[in-house]
Amino acid sequence: MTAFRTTPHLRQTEAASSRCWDVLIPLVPLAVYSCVYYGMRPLYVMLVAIASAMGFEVLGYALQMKRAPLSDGTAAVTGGVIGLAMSPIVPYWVPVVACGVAILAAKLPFGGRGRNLVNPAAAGLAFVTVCFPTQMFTYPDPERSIADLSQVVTQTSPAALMQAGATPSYSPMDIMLSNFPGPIGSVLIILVACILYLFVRRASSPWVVLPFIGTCAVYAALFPRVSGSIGFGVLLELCAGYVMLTAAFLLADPVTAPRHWLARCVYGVLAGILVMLLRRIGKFEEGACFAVLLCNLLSDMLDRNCWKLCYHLPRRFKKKQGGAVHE
Amino acid sequence: MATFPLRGIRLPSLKAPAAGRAVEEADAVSRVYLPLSFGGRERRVTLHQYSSVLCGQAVASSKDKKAPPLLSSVSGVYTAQKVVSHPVYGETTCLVMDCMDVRRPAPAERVDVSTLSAERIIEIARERAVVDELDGRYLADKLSEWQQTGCDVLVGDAVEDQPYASAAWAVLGESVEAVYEGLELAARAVDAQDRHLAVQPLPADHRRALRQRLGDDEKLFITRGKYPVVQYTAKPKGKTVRRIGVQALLALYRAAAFSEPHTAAVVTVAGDAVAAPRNLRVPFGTPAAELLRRCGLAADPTVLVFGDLMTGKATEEDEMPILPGVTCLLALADPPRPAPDVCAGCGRCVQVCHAGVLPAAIVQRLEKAQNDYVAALHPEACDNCGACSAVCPAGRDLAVQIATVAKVIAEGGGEV
Repeated sequence: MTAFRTTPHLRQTEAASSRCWDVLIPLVPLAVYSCVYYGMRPLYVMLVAIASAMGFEVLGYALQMKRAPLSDGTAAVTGGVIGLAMSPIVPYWVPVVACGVAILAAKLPFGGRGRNLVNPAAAGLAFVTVCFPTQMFTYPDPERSIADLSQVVTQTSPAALMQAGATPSYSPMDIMLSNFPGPIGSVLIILVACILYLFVRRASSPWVVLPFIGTCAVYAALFPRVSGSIGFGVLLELCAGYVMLTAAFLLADPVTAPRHWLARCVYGVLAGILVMLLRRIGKFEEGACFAVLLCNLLSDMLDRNCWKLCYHLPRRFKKKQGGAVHE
Repeated sequence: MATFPLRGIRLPSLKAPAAGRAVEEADAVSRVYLPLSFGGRERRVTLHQYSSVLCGQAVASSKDKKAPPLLSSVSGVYTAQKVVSHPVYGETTCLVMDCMDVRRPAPAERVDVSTLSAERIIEIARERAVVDELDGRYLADKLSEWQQTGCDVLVGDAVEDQPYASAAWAVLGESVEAVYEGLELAARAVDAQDRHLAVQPLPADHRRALRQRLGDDEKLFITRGKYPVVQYTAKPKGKTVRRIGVQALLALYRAAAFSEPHTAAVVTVAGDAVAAPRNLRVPFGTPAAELLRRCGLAADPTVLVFGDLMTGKATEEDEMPILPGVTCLLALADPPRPAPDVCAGCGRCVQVCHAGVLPAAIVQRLEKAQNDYVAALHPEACDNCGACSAVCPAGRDLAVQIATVAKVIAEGGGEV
């Protein structure tokens, strides 16, 4: 706590870098866990993504004749999240392109950190999903080595199988431990721990994340795409693709999410419905990044309208009731 | 005007060690400043320059018959007039009195206050210039207003929910019985059915001692809620709750019982630059420097705050006087201020805002010059409690900017 000259003289400030460290820390166990299945390559993909995001940030600021504020950590977070959404055998240039779009097209033109209209990582991922879907959605078999890329055995991911109308044959335990072809950061147990960690550190808001996951689960239960029990269907929908990754890192990014609690709830629910709809009717096996982009654009409108509702309703009610007067 | 009672922030308690010490009287004051236009009334000096006055004697009067007189807070000589730019009251013309004696005159013989009528109580508050320290308004004005508008519950407010202030606690510890007598008088004046003193959750032994002295548990209410939301009574629904500061209640009782004028304030002198924080009783108009001299400095203060950490106004001038309505003086060794960061959208300002506005959105609109939308976000609902700025991790001056825009709207700016 420090004393300042303008009222109030009591402040609880914290450096922006410390907030970003809170998001960077959960990336580590996810990358390390992926290395258990695939060797060191997922780690290299992550590092390439982080380094290229920081590189593009330096480049972007250099073009404006400014020094890049790398120490705030936002570029590293963007790179890390893009890295998590990649396949372990993705060519290294794909995350570099994604980071380039994220930083140079979605972040810096709007004024940099804190002023971006949409989540940069979601924008980068959306770009590479549209342009290079083959590289993005080709996943290796987790039970075989990927040391030699020319010999890699690829498999269809559960998300692609479900989109094709088939039912993936994985045990619930395999699904929870990410023992299926999928992106680097798709292990449910660690993602849940990450989400809880971010809640505790107040780096993400339960008002967004819980309605989002809840909506995805309810949607999966009401309109199942797989045969078998409802619980298995819900688990599969949540674990396949980017749903939990979106919940942990993309959707709850405070800069692009609404601030009002009701707006946050509506935003989470809307994103959940969009993610599940895009899976059903979209061209790609995973469209979470598009859902996030759409919801980002709506967040200001949601904030305004939900706040209006909460601000005016109690006042009207009080007027009718004749509430207490506090002098 | 708390709309969302569950909101607000938990503040640190920095009341020790001042709160544990008894009220001390100021022994020597070299000069005092008496504000001519205090309480929204213009006054004319009734003295010649260099004439001497006694403590409690009127030094200026107003054409308005209902205006309380301006009383000298010390015995001394009127030497000059000076315009001071006070951090709380702005530009104020003051009479400068060179002080010869800070002692108040010996109290008159005690009169029975139980038979005083409502009108007489308000008359006494006016004659003795009793000022409510909560808002710096004359008590007589407030009581006559409440007589018209009604009052169901009258609360003697000793809450002091901000970090440093402990003057009201000290006053209660010194003379809680007299304060309650004053509350009885004020309640009679406004015809309030319920009355009680309200304090923050105090240490158990302190609370027990106060209740024992009052003789009835009902007379002391322990408040609930986080800053700045305070519930002053158990069942506020549908009732009109009015508050008076405990120093004003004590002054009202002493004015009625002993004909004593209200000429002194109990002020908490604290802050990280003060060596020995304590509660001092000083004549109105004493310069801040005199209080700091009495308490000693542990470090060189870079800023003085008139009021407490959350709502106090800062100044660098130590010659500024303690006027009625100021009960806390802080001397802070202020570190250089880091530049505010950009909003990260964490939403903590929205979570804590008890007025239910969107502080970050209002300021964002101002920054983007989307002025048409600002009024629709109702910045005027903000009571400038400062909770949003206090919790902002980016250190942004939300409260100050919202107060500025609210002022423009209130002055009929419409589009800011």
